[in-house]
Amino acid sequence: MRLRVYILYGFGIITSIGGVSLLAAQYIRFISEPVKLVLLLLVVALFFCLGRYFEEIGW
Amino acid sequence: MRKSRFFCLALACFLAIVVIFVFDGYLGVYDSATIKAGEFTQEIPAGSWPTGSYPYSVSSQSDQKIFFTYRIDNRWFTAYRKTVIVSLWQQNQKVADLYSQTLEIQPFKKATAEWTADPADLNLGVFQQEQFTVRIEQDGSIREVIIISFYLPVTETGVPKAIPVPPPIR
Repeated sequence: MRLRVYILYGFGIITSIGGVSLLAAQYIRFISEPVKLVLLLLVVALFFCLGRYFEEIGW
Repeated sequence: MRKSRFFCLALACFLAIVVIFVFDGYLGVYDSATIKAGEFTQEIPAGSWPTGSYPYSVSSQSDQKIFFTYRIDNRWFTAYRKTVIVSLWQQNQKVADLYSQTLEIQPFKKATAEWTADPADLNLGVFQQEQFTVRIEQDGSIREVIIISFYLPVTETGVPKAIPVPPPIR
């Protein structure tokens, strides 16, 4: 039962990320090069902060 | 409080990414074009105009018209008013004016400009192969499309003549 829940969570997370990526890909070609670099840094910062957050709550 | 500090920072990064996508990726003024030469239709999507020394090129027979459709999509909160001037150039000299009109586009609306390049009207005559540049100018921006025009000799059509049978060899 618990495994099935995890599988469903995983499926939901993957489809959400896939959907957001698909939508983002439609507009990322309109974004200027310097702002693309800012976006990259923001994504790195986002993953760093999320990682630290999960680390601190004991995951 | 300390535990949620990184979560808040992550949320702030996410919101910043979304705001950048909206303001830098969606909002703005975008132009695209469709060029129909002969039976071939070529699309130049918004954001795909080449910059530098490799503009788009279109091949066409010299006796065929080339139809241009130029669209401007105003995704901004104020009206967009610009004069679009289209001209035909060859070897850095203007050959002809093709289109000139001031377009006023309301916020989040689109406008379309259409013109035709006709070799007959341009008095270019029949040529073997020539290259032209269609220059689309708005205030401060220039888009260029290269036309490679070639001449196909017209062949006479009709009933094929019978080939005479050679006399028998004795």
